[in-house]
Amino acid sequence: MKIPKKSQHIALAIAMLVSVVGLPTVAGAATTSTTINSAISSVISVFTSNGTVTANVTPTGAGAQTIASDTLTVSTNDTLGYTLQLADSDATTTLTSGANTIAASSGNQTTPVAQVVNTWGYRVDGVGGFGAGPTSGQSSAAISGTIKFAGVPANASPNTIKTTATTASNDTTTVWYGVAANTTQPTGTYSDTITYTATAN
Amino acid sequence: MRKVFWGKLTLGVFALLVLGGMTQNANAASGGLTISPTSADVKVEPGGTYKGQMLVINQGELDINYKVYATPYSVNGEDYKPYFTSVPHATDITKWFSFGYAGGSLKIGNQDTIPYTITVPKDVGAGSYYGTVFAETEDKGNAGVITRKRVGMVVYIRVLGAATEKGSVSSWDVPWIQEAPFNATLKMANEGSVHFQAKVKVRVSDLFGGTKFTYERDPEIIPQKIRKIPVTWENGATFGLFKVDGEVNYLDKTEKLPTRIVFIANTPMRLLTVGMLLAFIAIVVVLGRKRAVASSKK
Repeated sequence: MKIPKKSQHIALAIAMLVSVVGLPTVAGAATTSTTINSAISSVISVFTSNGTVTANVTPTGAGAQTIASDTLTVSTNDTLGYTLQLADSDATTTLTSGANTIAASSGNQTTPVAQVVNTWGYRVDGVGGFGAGPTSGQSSAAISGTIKFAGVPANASPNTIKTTATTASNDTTTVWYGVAANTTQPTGTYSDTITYTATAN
Repeated sequence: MRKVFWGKLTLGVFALLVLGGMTQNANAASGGLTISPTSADVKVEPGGTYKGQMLVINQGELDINYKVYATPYSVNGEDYKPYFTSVPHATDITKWFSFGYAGGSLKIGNQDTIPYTITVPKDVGAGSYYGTVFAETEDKGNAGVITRKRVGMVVYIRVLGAATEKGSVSSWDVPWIQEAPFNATLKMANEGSVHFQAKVKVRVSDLFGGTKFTYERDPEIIPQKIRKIPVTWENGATFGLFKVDGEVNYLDKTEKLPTRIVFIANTPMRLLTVGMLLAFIAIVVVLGRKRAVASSKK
């Protein structure tokens, strides 16, 4: 049976009308509200530019000093900020090479001192009694009478080197290490291990 | 023309090398680790256990070796300076922790899930106990200063049972005149036997009520300690008169903080403000006298 063209056109027009009118109705019927929940976990990270800070010294009779830096980078999304501490990894705070040692500086974070021969220490510009600096690196130069250092504390009594009160993104802190030696210090490869601790507040 | 081209090209290549070199230097290969979460609040019955997990992620530029372990946690002073060594006569809770995986090697971009279990002995009294779970790099070397990095998740454990929950706002200090950045200090005291979380909200608004700065934090307050909570508006207004109000939610109650008015200005602006006030007063006095003279002549 042949359907007249006119009827075909009418049927097509009705079908289009139904689809146009009907589609939004179908879409409307499927509409629903969705609540999206997303808990963002707290994170904290700490990185350093060096796993080992090399501060080699070629000693002189009067004493020579090498100052080298380590840069720490801390990030956290904890809104209370973070605390960064520094301490020796154990209770022995000397630089050691076999039976020989280089003593820790007699200064502390509150009252740091200029280095004397055959000692080592750390400083962080602008923290405690270190002064604003800025400190710059040097290699086997004359011992500075103005740049002050503290002995690295034992693991049981860490020094706080930064406290923040809000989130941090790649927040950097530069720690300077100084080693001073004269020719009485026996040759050797001296080392000690430091632990940086970062915790959210 | 050709010389100019080659000159510009050389300059461009030089600039690229310098900038490239600087960028590379700024992002020098770094080693370290990331953990998540940064704290855990745990409630356990005496004799009960709690199972949790911590993520250790290597987002650095070097493969690392690391270890996981627990230490005690205590704070000192109102700044809550953290300590991770045992306190005399305090319960050593590090023995309560056991780890499903205690570290190993972690390649760049990878992460480990560290399952841990806290087992509370039966004879432990109700109250608060604290520990820190550390992930620490195991950097090795034999020369110079070898640096290890560790990040800690503080675990606040409440052993359930009879306990005293008591706290208060110890002080709310907002200097009425100050230089930028705006700062205020809230001190929360915990006079009870268990820790609680304080939800602190502070709002700085202009005199027309428009909010200029909001501060929201949820610090933990440890028993028998006062915690200083600094409120700082970094990169905020450097000049103006503002209203400061807020509230603290803790232990199922809400305490409104007294509203304060603050004048923020640096020294030159303070002098300028005082000068303008004096000038205004002088003008008013002079005009007043002129009027008085004019009216007396009439």
